Amino acid sequence: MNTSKEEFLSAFLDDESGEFERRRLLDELKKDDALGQTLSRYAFIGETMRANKGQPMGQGVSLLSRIQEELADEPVYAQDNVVPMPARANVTVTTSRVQAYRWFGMGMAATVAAVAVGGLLFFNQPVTSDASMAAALPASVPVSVAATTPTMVADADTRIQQVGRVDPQTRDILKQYVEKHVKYASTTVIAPSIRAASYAND
Amino acid sequence: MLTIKHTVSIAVLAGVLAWSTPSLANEAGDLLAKMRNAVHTLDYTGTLVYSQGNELSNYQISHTVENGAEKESVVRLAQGASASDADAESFSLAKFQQVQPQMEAVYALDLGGQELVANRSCQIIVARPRDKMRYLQRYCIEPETGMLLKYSLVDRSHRTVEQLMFTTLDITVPTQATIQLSPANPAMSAAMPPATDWIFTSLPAGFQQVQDLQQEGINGQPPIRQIILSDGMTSVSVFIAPPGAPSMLDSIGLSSGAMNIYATEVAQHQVTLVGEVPALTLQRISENLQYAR
Repeated sequence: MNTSKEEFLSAFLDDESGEFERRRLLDELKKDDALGQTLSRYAFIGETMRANKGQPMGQGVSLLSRIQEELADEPVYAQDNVVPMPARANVTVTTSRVQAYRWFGMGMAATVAAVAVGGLLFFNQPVTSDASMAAALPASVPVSVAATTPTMVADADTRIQQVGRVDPQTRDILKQYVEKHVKYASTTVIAPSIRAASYAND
Repeated sequence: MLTIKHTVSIAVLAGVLAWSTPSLANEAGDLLAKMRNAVHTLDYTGTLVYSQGNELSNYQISHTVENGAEKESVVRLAQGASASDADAESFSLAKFQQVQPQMEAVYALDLGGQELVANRSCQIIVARPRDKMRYLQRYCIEPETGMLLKYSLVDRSHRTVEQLMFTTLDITVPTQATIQLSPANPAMSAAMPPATDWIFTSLPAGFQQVQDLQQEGINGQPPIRQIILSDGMTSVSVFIAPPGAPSMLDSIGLSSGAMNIYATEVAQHQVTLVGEVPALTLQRISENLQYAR
């Protein structure tokens, strides 16, 4: 069934079709069950609409145009009133989950591969000392080669961010040191002024 | 024949690169020098965003030059804050020292692309550290005026630890920039000759002592020594408190954005290091500080 058959149906129901068209439509109705159901539906809709408006059947107005008019009179739904169909929502979630599992699997595989390759490279790499790295630097002043054990660095890093635990006296002293540093030692432009205002408010 | 062509092409390319790299670095250095001068000679008013670690704040800054003297005002635009205007003294070691020669040994200067900040076009310049003892510095400078529009410090984890950026800015070029960049700062008159009692057996590459100041003690306490070290782009203050001065914890490390603090004890003196450098740098400096008397 296509649009032209629907138009024939509409014209037939509105008593606007000619003899030739009517005969042809009847032939089609014998062969096409779907077209017959459409005819029944159109007829039912037409009856309902006419009953609501108190109009008798066959006023020379196209059924399709009346349907369009009725649709135009329907209240417009706001976007907020539209509720997504639960079935479709579930499908989306399921799909995203499947996708997530797929990515997780690929990520795991990549991680295992990276660890394996990284392990091989780590155990096969040549040993490079800090001193040789420092020597590679174009230093005008000798680089400090005093060994700082990783433990010390880790300890310092652990202590950092513990501002809240500093006692009030220490805090006052530190604040004055920071103020003096910002005031007399900052090398960058504008930033010192902003830093000073920032620390003054802290 | 094809091999000769390739060889010649590569040689020409290498020649062009070798010629252009120092040229770009020089251009970047020149623009940095222009910026250091411009922020002291220009009249400007604007608002800027300042981030320090995870904290974000707004400031209104105003800078004028009147009769050769700088006047600067910085007001924090906090929520519910009053409009009280706190005049801030204009200060910076940059005012007294231009880009130092040793800076080029520890930073690689790169000229980046153009960016639009506060509706003004600016040129990106990156000072890339050659070791892990300092932060990467990124500037965006308006080429015409030399005004700094954006500045950030980035650590080795590519984390921006401090950043400022103008959101609005009005610049007026004074008709007669008669400003004298003289050490009007009272602290500078208290500068002492280089310390001989306290010495650094070695320093991280590029750092050297640039100031030795005597600061007044806190609440009538004995004066505090402030030795300033700089690599030309950033600095570290080493505060030395005599025995008997108000004490802190034996050893402490604190961090706030780009700024780190490291306190320890050397020869019964409380030594506190403050600077916009990684904590490791402060530790290295303190380890090589010795009391010679």
